[in-house]
Amino acid sequence: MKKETQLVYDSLFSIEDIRQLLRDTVPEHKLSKEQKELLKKKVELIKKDCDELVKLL
Amino acid sequence: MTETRCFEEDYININPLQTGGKTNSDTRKSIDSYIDGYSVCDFCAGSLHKIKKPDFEKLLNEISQFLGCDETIFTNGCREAKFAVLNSLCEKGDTVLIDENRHYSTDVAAELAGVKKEYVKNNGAPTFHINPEDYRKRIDETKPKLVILTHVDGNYGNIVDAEKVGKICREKNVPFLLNTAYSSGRMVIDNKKIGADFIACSCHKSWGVGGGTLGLLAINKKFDDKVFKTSVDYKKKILQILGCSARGSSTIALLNSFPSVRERVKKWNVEVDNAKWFIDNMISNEGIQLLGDYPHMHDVMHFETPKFDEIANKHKDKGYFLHKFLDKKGITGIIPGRTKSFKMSTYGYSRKQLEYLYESFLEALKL
Repeated sequence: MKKETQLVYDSLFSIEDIRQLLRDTVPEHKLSKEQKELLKKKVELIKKDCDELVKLL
Repeated sequence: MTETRCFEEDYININPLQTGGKTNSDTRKSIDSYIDGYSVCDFCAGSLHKIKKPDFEKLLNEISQFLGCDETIFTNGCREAKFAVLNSLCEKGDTVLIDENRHYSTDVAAELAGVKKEYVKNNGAPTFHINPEDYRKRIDETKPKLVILTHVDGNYGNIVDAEKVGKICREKNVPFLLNTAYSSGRMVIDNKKIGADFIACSCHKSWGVGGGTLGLLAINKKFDDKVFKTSVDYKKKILQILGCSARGSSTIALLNSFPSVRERVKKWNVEVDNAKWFIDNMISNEGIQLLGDYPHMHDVMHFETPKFDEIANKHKDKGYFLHKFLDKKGITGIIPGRTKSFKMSTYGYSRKQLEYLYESFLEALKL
């Protein structure tokens, strides 16, 4: 798989993990400390993957 | 573009059709790259259930072991699995014996197969219980070619003792088809104990599968020649599923949901405890009664709710008041306009979420 394709999927998968956080915490979306940490981690990964993607293409 | 759906992200969704088919993140990730038409057929082995990349052959072998059956194939849904058995085993005009709590698709499959339907009655309101022993008498009376039992029905969430029905069918030497649309994938199904000849499953209902519909037909080897008979001209193509069935991402979804399904059935007792807790709280209120077996042993439940109907008669939103109120609380899944009775499911929700749900119903009772 080409690097740019891998980056797109990695970003999608990180978004999917964030989507799961929403699903796990319905309806009020009150995130625990661990869930908030995971959210931050995933957002950072998305930023990193997208920055790399822009440089590549 | 179609409006984006957010029932699972923004709401507690208690629609009994949908709770067991919710996908986890790994399942959704896996579907992404297999969303294009026929992408599961990149490395076609002549028939879908024999494909090794992705390894469907191994998956289906593992599922056969998981269910305690000899062989399993994909079908487009549970109803197609039932039809495959009916169509291959019965001649037109034969009789099949079915429980009264069956899903309509059992009747439709039987009708299409051209068979005569006879029923084992439930005991009526309020429990609508199917007594397994009634199969004995009805088999003697109707001489069926096939017996069908809905293990857990979708109206009341009643569980019928399939082992007892299986034993009766073996004594009477009648083939036995077990519809597990609301049981396999949620709870342990051990066919080594049940002794059914055929097990029909619904993966989009109870195995956490998305990306389309998907069923499974698991059988005992002695019926292999009849039910899994292949075409004369196309030796790898099973006739009853028209060669290959679900040729889309739902099979990939199952490949990726199955590890979690294998684990979640071990925690079925938690789901039952949650369902019991919720029911006991609901029926402690005047004007709310449970329809179906009590104590209740399944997450699908049906309440008769004259109290909500009484409120609807006075409320400005009439019969829609309950749906509208719950929607504002972030709860969905009850059919809009229904207040006399409704079905719901507690499957997959934590006790904390169910407490929120119950408190919301309590608030609705005060409207």
